[in-house]
Amino acid sequence: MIYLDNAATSWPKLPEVLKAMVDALERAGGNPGRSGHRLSIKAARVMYDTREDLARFFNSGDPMRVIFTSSATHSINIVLKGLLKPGDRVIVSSMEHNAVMRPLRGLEERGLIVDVVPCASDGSIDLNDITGAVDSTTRLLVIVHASNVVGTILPVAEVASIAHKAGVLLLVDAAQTAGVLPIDMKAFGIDFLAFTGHKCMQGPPGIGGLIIGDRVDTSQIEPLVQGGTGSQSELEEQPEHLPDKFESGTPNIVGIAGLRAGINWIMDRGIETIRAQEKKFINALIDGLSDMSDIKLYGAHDPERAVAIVSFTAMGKHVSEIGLKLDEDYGILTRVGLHCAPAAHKTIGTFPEGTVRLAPGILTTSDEIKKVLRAIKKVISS
Amino acid sequence: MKEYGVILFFTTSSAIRAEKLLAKEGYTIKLIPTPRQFSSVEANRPVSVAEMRQ
Repeated sequence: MIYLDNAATSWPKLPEVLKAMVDALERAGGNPGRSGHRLSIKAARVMYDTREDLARFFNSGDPMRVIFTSSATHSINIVLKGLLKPGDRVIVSSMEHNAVMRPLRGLEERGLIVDVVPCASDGSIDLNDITGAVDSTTRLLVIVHASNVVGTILPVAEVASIAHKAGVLLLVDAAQTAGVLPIDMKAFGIDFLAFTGHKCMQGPPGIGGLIIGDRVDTSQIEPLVQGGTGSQSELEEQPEHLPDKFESGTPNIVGIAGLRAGINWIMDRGIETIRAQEKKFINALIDGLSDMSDIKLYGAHDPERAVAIVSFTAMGKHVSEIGLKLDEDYGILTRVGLHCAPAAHKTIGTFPEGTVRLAPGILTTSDEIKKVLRAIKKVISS
Repeated sequence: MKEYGVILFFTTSSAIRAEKLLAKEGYTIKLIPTPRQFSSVEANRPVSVAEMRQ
């Protein structure tokens, strides 16, 4: 079996990650922040240490502003639903995932103004278009760091500088980049970073995070979920202090422990090493697919401008047929269709049919990439 | 009689953070559940405290 669906979730998970998760259940199985006994405190330590690791990993500053969530989608919902009011304007790119577009379309029905800045067909954005879209009613800019459909990287630091000049906050969807592209929240000027643990961070599904930058006044954000935090239990009102304000309910300590092991693995290996290997695979896939006459490739066609996501269609073949044949006849696992991102597919011109998406990961080998290219050649000529 | 100080925090995350910082400074720290007599300090009841002895 060859797993090329790492953009959906990385697989297999590292032995270090599995071990950390089992250890957390066996040795730190209490409910963090609730009881004062040793198992509860052990769990609280795992959780706090992971906050510190994340704050360091993304250079965000105060670890108390690291909020654990269930996914990047959850993190994005906290910001969009907690911050935006009817009459506010929000600017997004046309490459956004439905994690951003669905909550925004829901809020639009209640008076939010959503302004979509069109991207080019390779997924890139013209910064002048963003500058031109910002006005005095703009409250938030939302941008995907790299497209989950074609991998194209968007210039987050430049967008942040436009946002800051206009007094607008910036939310970055780093679902496809956290763990593989260096992200420095302070240097880039990111106000909200939404990430998931189970993709490039190498953790398990069910854990993600929202990191809130120093510039943000969190009293302006309503919590998405309210409930028990283990703190200020005499009050029936939600506490204001961080991270508790946004972390009601028993946390996913197993997921947090797995995520921490993933971050540690990445730091040991070095993000540059991981990225260099990824670029090699993107290059090999682009080269191999470009040689096949019936194939149309999408995106930037440039490993410097994209993460490890390569999307294609083939003349006269449905993408679902290609995906099924690759799976059944060759044991190659890809993801076909619209990838939860209809806006992005409209931008690159593949809506509603979609594409075949190849997403190598940290454990992919060059030999596997060669086998995949041979298999695709056979499938599209059959 | 041993003397010790008690620090109260709003959230366990802060208590753990303090524990790490104070341990680095050479203090002996113990995290304990918030003693009842401190439980209604202002409106903000802390979740746990760090006890230190030098």
